[in-house]
Amino acid sequence: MDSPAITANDLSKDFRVGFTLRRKRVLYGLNLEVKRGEIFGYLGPNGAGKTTTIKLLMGLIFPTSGEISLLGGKVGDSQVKSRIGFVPENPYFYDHLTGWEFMQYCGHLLGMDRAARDAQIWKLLDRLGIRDAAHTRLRKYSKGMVQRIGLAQALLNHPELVILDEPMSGLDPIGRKEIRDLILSLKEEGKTVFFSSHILPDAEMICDRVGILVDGRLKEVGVLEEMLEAKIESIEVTVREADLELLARLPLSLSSPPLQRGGKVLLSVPNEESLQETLSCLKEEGVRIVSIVPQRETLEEYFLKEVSSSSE
Amino acid sequence: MKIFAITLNTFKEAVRDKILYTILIFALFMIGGSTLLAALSIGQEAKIIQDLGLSCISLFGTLIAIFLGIGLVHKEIEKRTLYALLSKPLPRDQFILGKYLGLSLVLLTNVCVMGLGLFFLARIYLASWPWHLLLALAFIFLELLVITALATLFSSFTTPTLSAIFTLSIFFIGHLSSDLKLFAARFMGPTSRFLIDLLYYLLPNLRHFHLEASLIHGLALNGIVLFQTICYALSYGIALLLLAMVIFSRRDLK
Amino acid sequence: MARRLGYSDRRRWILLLCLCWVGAWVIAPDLDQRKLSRSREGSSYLIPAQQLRPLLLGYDLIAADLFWLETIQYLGRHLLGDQKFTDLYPRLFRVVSLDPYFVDAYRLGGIFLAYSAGQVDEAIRLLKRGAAFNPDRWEPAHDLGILYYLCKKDYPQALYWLQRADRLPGRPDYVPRFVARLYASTGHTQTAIEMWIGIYDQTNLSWVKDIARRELGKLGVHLPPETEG
Repeated sequence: MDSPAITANDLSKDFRVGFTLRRKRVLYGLNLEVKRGEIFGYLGPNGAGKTTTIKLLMGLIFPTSGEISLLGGKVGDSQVKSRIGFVPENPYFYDHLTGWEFMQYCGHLLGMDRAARDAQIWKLLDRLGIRDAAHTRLRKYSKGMVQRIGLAQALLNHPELVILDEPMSGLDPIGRKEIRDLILSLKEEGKTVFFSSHILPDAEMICDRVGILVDGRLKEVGVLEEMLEAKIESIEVTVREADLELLARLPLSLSSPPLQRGGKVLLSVPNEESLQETLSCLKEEGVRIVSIVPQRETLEEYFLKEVSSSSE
Repeated sequence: MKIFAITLNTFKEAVRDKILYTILIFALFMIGGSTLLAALSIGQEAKIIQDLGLSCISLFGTLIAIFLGIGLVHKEIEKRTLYALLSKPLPRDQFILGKYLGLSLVLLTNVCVMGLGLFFLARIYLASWPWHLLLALAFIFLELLVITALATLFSSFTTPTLSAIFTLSIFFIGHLSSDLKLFAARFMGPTSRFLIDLLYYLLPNLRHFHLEASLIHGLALNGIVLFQTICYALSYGIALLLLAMVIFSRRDLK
Repeated sequence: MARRLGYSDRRRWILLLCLCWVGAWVIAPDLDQRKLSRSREGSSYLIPAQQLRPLLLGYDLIAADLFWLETIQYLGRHLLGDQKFTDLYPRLFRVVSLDPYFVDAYRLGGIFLAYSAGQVDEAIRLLKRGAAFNPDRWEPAHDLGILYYLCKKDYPQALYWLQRADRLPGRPDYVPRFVARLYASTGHTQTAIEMWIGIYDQTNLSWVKDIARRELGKLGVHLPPETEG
C-alpha cells in the first residue's frame, strides 16, 4: 500500500520577528494527510500560513516542531525531491535565459541525460503552449507565460506529486481555466496535486478534498461535497403559469415569500421534507414545475463564515 | 555534474551584468593611462606601469568580487529563483559551491583580460617579456579567491548592504593586520595584544598575496614561502566556503 | 507649462549655460594661481610613511611611485626656482620607506641631494639605507663610495664601499680599478699591487693593460714588456 503523498504531524512553525526577535507562531500543530492521486486544495485567506506550509513541505524553511513526510520519505531527501514538482507563488526565473536554456538548466539539475531532456522539454513546451517562445528571453515573457514555464519546469521529471503555490493568482479567466484543465489532466495521469489558493470558485471546481487554514490553524479538512452538503440552506423551485394569488392560498411551507420573475415564480422551500409536500401540492393544482435547485452554501460563504468565526 | 550547471549559469548571468563591463573598461583605461603618468618619471616608466597596472587589477578585481559576490545568494532569494532551484534534488551546499565557482570563473576571466593588457603594455617598456607579471597576477587571483569566499559567506546569510560592509571591513583589516600586530606588540598591554593576535589569526592576512614588490624589483622569491602562501589561501578559502555551506544549509529561506 | 519652452526660451537657456561655462573657465586659472602662491611645502605638512601605510591597504608601491613623481616635480620646481631643497630628504625618505627596493630613488635621490642641494650627509644617509635594504645591488654601495671619494674626501670609507660594490654582480668594469687606486692612496700598497697584477692578467683589453702597467709603475713594480704570442 502506497504511503500518502503528504503527511504532516503536529507541524508548528515559529518565526522570530522584530528587533527583539520575539517568537511569533504562524502554524499551530498542523495535522494533514494528502492521499495519492487526489487534487487537494489548501485554502485560506492571505496571511493564513499557506505559503509557510508549502515552504515547510519543500524544505525551504525548517519546522519548529512536528514531522513531515512526502511520498513516504523525508523532506529534503534527494530521492524524494526527484519525484516532486514545485511551482512557487508568482514565479520568477532567470531573466537572461531563454525558455529553452532555462528548461535545460533545470534538466541538468535533475540529472537528466541529454536525449531525455530534449525530448521532454519539447513535449512540455508543446503541452503548455509556449513552444514558440522557447528561444525568447524570459524577461520578455508575459505573466501567463511565466506561469506556464513554471509548470513546465515542475513537470520535467515526471513527478508523482505536484505542489503549486497560488497557481492561478494574477491570471485572466482564460488562464485560470487552462490551469484548471491542466491540474485535472495531471490527476488523470495519476499524479497527486496539492495547491494553495484564495480563489475559491476555482477550488470548488476541481478539488477532491480541501483544507481550510485560518490564522495558522487547520479549521477543516474534507471532501467538498460532504462539507457543503450538510449546509443546504434551501431549495429553489421555479414554477410557471401560476399566479401569486393562487400560490398564496396553497398550504406551502416556504422559507420566504414567492418571487415573480418574468413569467416564472420562484419558491424557496426550507428543506427536503417540505419539498415533497410542496411538490405534490403544486402538482395537484396543475402548476408547471420548471426546475428544482438546491441552494447550497457556496464554498465562499462557508469560508467567510469560518474566517469570521475564528476572528471572534 | 550539477555544480557545473550552476557554475555556468552564474558565469553567464554575471557576464551579462553591466557593472562588470563598466569596471573592466575603467580598469583598462587606467592601465593604459598609466603610460601618461609614467612619462613624468625619469626612466622609471616600466616600474610605474607595472606597479599601477597590478594595483589596478588587484583593486578592480576586489571591487568586482565584492559587488558580484554580495548579491550572489541574496539576489536569488529576493527574486525567488532559488525556490524553484532548491525544489530540485540539489543539496544546498552544492548550490553555494556552484555559485562560488561561477564567480571565481568570472574573476579569472577578468584578471586574464586585464592581465593580458598589462602584459603587452609592459613589454613595450621592458627589454623582454615580463613573465614575472604572470606570477604576480596568479597571486592577485588567489587573493581575489579569498575575498570572493568572504563575500559568498556573508551573502549566504545577510543582506547585500551588510555583506558589502563586512567584506570591505575585513578587506581593510586584512591589509592592516600585520601592522596592527606589530603595533600591539610594541605599545599595548597583554589583553589587547591577545585580542589583536586573535583577530590577526582569525581574519585573513591579505598582504601575503602581494608579491609585486619582490617581482617587479626582480628579487629572489622563496619557494617555500610561495607554497605556504598558496596553502594559506586554499585552506582559508575552503574554511570560509565550508562555513557558508553550513550556514546556508540550516537557514530558513523566508 | 512644459510646452511654453519655445525656440526663444531654448536659446536663452543655451546662452545661460555658455555664460556659466565661460565664467568657470575664466575663474579657474585665477583660482589655481591663488592656491599655488598660498601653497606651503614645509615638511610639517608631509605625513610620514609610517602613518600612511595603514591607509594604503597594501598599495604601497603605487604610493611610492606617486610620491616619487611628486618629488621629481618638487626638485624641478626648486632647481629652476629658489634653489632651496629643505624638503628633499624627507620626500625621498618617504618614497623609499614605502618601497625600500626602489633603487633608482636611492641613486637619483643621492645625486640630487649631494650635487643639487649640497646635502651630502643626507645623501649618504639615504644611500646607506639603500645599501642596507638592497645588499645584492651594486648601485647603492658604488654611489656611496663615489660620494665619500668626491665630496667627503674620506678615502678609507670610499674604499670600504667600493670594495663592497666590487663583489656584487653587474657592477661596472672600472670599479676594481678604482678600488686598486684607493688601496694605494690609503697606504695598502701591497694589496694595491696584487690587485693591479690581477687586473693586468685578467683583461684582454690593451688600454686596460696599459693603465695597470702605469699604476704598477707608480707603486714601484715594473712589468716586463708585452711580447707577441
